[in-house]
Amino acid sequence: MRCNLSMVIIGLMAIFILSGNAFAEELLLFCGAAFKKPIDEVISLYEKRTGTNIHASYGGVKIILSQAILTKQGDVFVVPSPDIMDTAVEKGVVHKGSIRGFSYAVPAIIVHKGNPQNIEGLKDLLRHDVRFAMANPENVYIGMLTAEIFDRNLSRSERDILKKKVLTYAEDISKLTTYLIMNQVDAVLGFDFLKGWNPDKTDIVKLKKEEVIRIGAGQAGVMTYSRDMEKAKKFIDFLLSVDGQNVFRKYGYLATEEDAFVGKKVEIGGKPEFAEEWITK
Amino acid sequence: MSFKRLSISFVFLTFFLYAGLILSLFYFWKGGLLLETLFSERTLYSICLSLLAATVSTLLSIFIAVPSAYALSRFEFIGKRTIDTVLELPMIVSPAALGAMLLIFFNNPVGIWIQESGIIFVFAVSGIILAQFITTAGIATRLIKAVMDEIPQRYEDVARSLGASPVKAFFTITIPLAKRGIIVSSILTWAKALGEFGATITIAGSMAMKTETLPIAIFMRLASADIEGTVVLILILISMGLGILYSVRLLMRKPPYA
Repeated sequence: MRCNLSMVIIGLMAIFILSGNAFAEELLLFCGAAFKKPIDEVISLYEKRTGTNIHASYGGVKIILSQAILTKQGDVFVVPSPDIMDTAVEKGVVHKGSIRGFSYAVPAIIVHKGNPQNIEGLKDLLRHDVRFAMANPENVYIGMLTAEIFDRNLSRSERDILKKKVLTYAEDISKLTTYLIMNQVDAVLGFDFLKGWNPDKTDIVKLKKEEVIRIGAGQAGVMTYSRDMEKAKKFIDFLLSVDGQNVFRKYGYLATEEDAFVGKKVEIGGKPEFAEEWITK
Repeated sequence: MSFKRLSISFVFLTFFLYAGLILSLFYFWKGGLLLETLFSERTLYSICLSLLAATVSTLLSIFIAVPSAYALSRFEFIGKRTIDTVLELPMIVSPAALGAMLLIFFNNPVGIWIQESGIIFVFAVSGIILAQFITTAGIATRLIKAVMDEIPQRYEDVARSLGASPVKAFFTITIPLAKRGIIVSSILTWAKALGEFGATITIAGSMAMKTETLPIAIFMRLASADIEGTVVLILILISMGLGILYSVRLLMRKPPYA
């Protein structure tokens, strides 16, 4: 009996040690939900080519930042805006020198396929028959961009009407899209690449060039907690390679600044500036 | 080591596991933030909303669970085993999946009709109550059924042989005997509803001053990389939940005819 128990304990310890070693061969990636679809495919391609297992944790940019800070784990940090990456550098999560840009995203109105509500611009979101939701301006990058766009393009009274009309603040861009696809809203303000996520269910309505204040710019960096920085760098290299970028193009993401040109020069990334009233204290 | 000591040591092991987790919160403790957070309009709204939604959903769950549990415990009928198994759905399916199921339901013709008839659930407080009700109704039924199973049917048979109707036997024999078990089940149901997060955020969203319950407020703080604020809200939820549960237990310890 005692012998059997010892065998079980030794067996469990062996599994524990082996699993620990196996983990050392893996990479942990924290990624903003905005890039979930292409990153999933990039990871799958990379795993097939190199045999390196990659685990990805997706979420709103600040939730993944919190996860990284609290767990002190992770190898690669991928976000849709340089200002979030700056915060990650400030908090000691990412090596500044390792940061590289890889994709651009233009804010746009996303509607049901065929645009049945005939939504043509920001002002249409004020209509009584249009159900509208946006991402949370408190902690989701596209939510912050949305608040900034409304502040700059709507009058005070229009903004008040719109704020009352917002059905919900989604906690990430995936959830925002889900609400649209589930027909709980008629329009959301997201990024133009969302048309590539569900091309048979959604369409985009481009904002007028004067309405776009800034565009999102994806960045990836090696995390300070990485146990294998070389491997983390290699994954980022792959992300920026032609193959990696082709995956992003396939999902409607824009690979170059020229692709993302909205008809006028706009800020790339940066911290959106919006009224404090968007955030409830 | 005696068996008594061994079993008690397991109790303390479990206790220290949770106590350790609570104590670790103080690693990010920022004293001044407690009162500021506690008395902010947003937190007070979340607290009231959480208490209200958990209480209403618990009352609804218990209202459905008591007769259901009695039927499952006492009668044989077609589909009984299937129904009994389906009641475990909230335990098998994750809360987020339950929330997704609700969202999908409100996207089908029946769901759309309900919403268009004036009862709005999606992105509304009623959605929180519905999510908590769906998460707890099956569990409440299962808990109360276990209580009913422990009460011998012979007592009801005796009452009926003395002329009591089935309804009278139920209210004068079964319910008084099951009272304590029903209260305990209600407490557990309430606690489960108070902490519910996944289904609630999926169906009702996370809008401050509208559908932000305390568990959602905690998530939103964490989602804003505000660890200290998260800690304060977790401590408020723990104090509130454990405080209320402990008070109810104390009240229940009083002898009924004292």
